Amino acid sequence: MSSLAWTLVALLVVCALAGYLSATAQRLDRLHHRVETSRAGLEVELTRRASAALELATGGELDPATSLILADAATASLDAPRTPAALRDATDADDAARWTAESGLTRALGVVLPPGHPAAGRVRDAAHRVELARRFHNDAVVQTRRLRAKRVVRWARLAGHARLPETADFDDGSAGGGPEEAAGRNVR
Amino acid sequence: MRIGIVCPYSFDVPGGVQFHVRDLAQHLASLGHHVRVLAPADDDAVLPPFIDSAGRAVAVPYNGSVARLAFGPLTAARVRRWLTEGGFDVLHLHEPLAPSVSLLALWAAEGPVVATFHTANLRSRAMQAAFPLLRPSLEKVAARIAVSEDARRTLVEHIGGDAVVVPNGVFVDDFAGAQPRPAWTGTPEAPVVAFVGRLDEARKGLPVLCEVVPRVRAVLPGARFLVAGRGDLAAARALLPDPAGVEFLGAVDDAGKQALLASADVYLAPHTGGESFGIVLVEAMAAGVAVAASDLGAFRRVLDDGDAGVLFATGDADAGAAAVLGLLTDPARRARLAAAGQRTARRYDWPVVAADVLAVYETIRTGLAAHARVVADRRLPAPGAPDGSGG
Repeated sequence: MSSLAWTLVALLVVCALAGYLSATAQRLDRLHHRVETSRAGLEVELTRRASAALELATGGELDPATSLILADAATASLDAPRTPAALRDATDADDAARWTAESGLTRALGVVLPPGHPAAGRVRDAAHRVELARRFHNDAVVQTRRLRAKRVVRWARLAGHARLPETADFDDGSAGGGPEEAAGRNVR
Repeated sequence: MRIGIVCPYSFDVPGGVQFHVRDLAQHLASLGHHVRVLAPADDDAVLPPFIDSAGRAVAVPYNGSVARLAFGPLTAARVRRWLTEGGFDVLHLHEPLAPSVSLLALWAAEGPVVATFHTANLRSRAMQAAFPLLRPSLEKVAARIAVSEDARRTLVEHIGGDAVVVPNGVFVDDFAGAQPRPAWTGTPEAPVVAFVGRLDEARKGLPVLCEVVPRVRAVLPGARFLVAGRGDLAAARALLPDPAGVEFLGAVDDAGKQALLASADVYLAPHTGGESFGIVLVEAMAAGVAVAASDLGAFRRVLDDGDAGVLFATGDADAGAAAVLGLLTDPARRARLAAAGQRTARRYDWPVVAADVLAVYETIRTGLAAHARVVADRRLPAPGAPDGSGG
């Protein structure tokens, strides 16, 4: 083949590679966006749940001992440090303390919430939203980690400086034990 | 909220997914939301006013049976135009991996996408082969819904990630208030057992039913079995050693189905597999008929592990006949199970299910709005102000 043909072939290969890399970068960008938005949503729902729980605790509807237990768990959740939503400006991705507080609130609600209590409706709704938001967030995280584990993403540094997202591992009170046992397999 | 719903299957033929989409859209619209549905349909088809046609569906062999689907560049262009013109806040796709308009909508989608997996055939070899091509599109789905815990498990095992469970809905009051028809109502000497389902799909359990019939009639010679459903009647009759006691009603409409379930003494669900939910069991429970069903995972869950109906070993005609006879010979137990079933069915009433679906939409929108606020805050000159999202 002439050198012109070789050049053309090389050009085609470079173009195909560039196209593939750009498509993968777009996928990754979309997934990162999903991780950030679902995490922001989870933060809102967790705050909502804790505020509703605190309101229930201080509303005078429960006995003082129950109120104190619930208020303690709710404030622990509200006071726990927040990780910035953006993947790229977070340095400390350790949410362990946060999730301990959230699991604590879930457990407190499970013990404290009287079944069928009218004032509990708002808290229950908020808790349900937390379950949804956590599932959606973890779904996004699992898929992002899967793509980021690919060689082409690592070698071409398509993820830039974005931190590797972590699943939100706390007890949200949903039946079935949460997704980790099933989803974890796909993460690593 | 502006909601766009996409159904991959043609509204020209009845089917579970189509009914689900129609009822969901109807209920959301009644709550005051702007709802449009996109689905394949013939040009001259009479459609509810909220349904837009994505073009004519073509009958193609897919996944072991003939499905009526719409695809191709023309359909893709129509889907794209519908999305642009709709300006939806949420796009809700049903069965996003069926090779039809849902998949095309997913391909073209830009905004927030919610997807419901009904009976996704994720185990099929075609799906395993084509999945790497579909994965990038599927990654756009911000919220996955599975119709049952079993469907969710299949999803998680085969494509990873996670999903929330929102069951299929039933307009419970339509069934609870249905009037029995005298011709279908049983007597102590001639009790009535009902079955609703396609005749030509073996997994719906007609072959098992045909074996149950003689066993039940050996004890209760007057027992009648009423079979409603589309399919080849001659082939179905051929399965029966003795045609006595079985009446084929052919395809019945909604009112007919409601009346049949309200009239019968026992509903028999002898399905042998492939069921991810079991909507017909909920309909039967809502109508107040005692249910005897195969011990499939999805059925077990709908029947509360047997508290709201009798479960028998899947495919076992002896066990099925014993379950039916147990109910027919014990009216008190039948009444108790029917009452439990009616309570259970309330959980699947459309107002409850639609509220769950709306909670999914709102959770997605909350995240987007909160994220937009964070991004806006970051652009402000004064840094570090935490965003005051809350109640």
